[in-house]
Amino acid sequence: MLAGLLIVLLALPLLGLVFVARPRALGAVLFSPAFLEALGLSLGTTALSLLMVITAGTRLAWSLATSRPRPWLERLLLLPIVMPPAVLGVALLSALGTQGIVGPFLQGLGLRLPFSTTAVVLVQVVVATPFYVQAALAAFRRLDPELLLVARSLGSTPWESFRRVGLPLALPGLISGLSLAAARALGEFGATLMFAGNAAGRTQTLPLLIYEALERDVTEAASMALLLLALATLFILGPNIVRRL
Amino acid sequence: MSYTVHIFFLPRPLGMVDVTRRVRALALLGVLAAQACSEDGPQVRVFAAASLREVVDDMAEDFEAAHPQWSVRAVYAGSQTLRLQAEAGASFDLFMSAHAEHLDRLHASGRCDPPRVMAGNRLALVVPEGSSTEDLEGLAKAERIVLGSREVPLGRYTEEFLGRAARTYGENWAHQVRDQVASRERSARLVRAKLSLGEAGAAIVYATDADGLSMRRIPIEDGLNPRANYVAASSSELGRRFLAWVEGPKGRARLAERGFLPP
Repeated sequence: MLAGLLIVLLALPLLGLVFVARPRALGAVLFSPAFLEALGLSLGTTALSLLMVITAGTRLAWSLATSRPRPWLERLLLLPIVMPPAVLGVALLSALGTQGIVGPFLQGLGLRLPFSTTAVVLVQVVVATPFYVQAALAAFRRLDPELLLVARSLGSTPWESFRRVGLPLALPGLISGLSLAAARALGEFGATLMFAGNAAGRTQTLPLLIYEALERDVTEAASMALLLLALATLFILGPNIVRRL
Repeated sequence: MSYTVHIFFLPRPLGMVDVTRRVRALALLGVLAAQACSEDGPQVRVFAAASLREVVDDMAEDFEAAHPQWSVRAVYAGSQTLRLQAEAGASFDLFMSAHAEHLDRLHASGRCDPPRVMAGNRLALVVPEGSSTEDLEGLAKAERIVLGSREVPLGRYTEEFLGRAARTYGENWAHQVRDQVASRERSARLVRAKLSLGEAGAAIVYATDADGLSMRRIPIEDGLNPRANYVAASSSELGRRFLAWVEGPKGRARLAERGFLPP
């Protein structure tokens, strides 16, 4: 009974979106330059941020899984998930902004982050990393340590034992974490608005465009939201689809 | 009956939580308590444009002091956000918008009395100390200009200003300025926040918001500076009472103190 209510609470808003969006508006929105521009920016930045999350996150998860346990560090890695996005945005500004801790130093190198597409990517990395690292960590922990030991005893280097034994076995877990991270990066809104601002073509990702459209035309915004939702669903279900193939 | 819930991410001993009936009852109690708390005495629910925050707080305090039986609860956001919420069914007693259009639409759909102009404002161009921008013409060479989004009243007045200024400084000037826009923010106060955070190289804000900033203000000639009109409309007797206060001598005095123009 309670579980059913919870499912209804989770599903009903999605259904509402379907009802507000009009099929005719859907087509018009899909081909509008503003939507395509924001979609392109969203997909591009998400791809870039995922690349960074995979390369650095896998390393981090592997070293956390194979070295002595550091439970507090693992817990702290969850902070970006629970921080209010606007707070995260201000935090990023006070670290990397023009007057932030390392901002002036970066500026000396010719790097001005706020209001840039790089800022969009950085925010996505911060919010998506915990999802990936947690999943990767769990996947690496589930590995049988004996297998890695055997690989080492047969003469493989630590890197080889990771790449040829650890990685293939943990892959389903990594992909599942990656799909969550992708969906989260795609949907990132609040911190982006604070840290990267809102400029069409440069920092206005799909969620930001939807928010702007909401105050102009609700139907249009709902149609865009529906398309964003479809994408996110695809990301979330991606691992299941891959497994079926 | 007891449920075992495994909370994702939590290590096992912590993550396995027994949700018993007692916990559910407590949760229900919490919801009920939260509802009960919001219903003490007549409340004037005010929706107000973000740029009115301090002055409405002032007036609410005066009003509550004069009428201890009433309390004022104000919500501040971009006028377009508040209108959206009102259209979706959020109820208000008095709505103070930074642009006439939002209240005209709410009035047309029968959600409030006819709106009336309650105060005015002007735009101000603000740059950080040490900026190389000296005058309006130099705005075209400024970097990282932050403006209000076109959906926000401030953004509309800004577009009006850019249109007028283009006639003086040329279309090319307006084009260059728009090219340098780093961000279009969702409320007048977010534009100001970008200035305070030191991220904006130049920004156009309301004159009343510029007063609180210790930054350099570049004058805009009267002919180019559009007048922003704040309009107010009530939808209940309580709202009418508070509006009468706002339009009365005490409200006027508070508005003037904060630099708003008379209606």
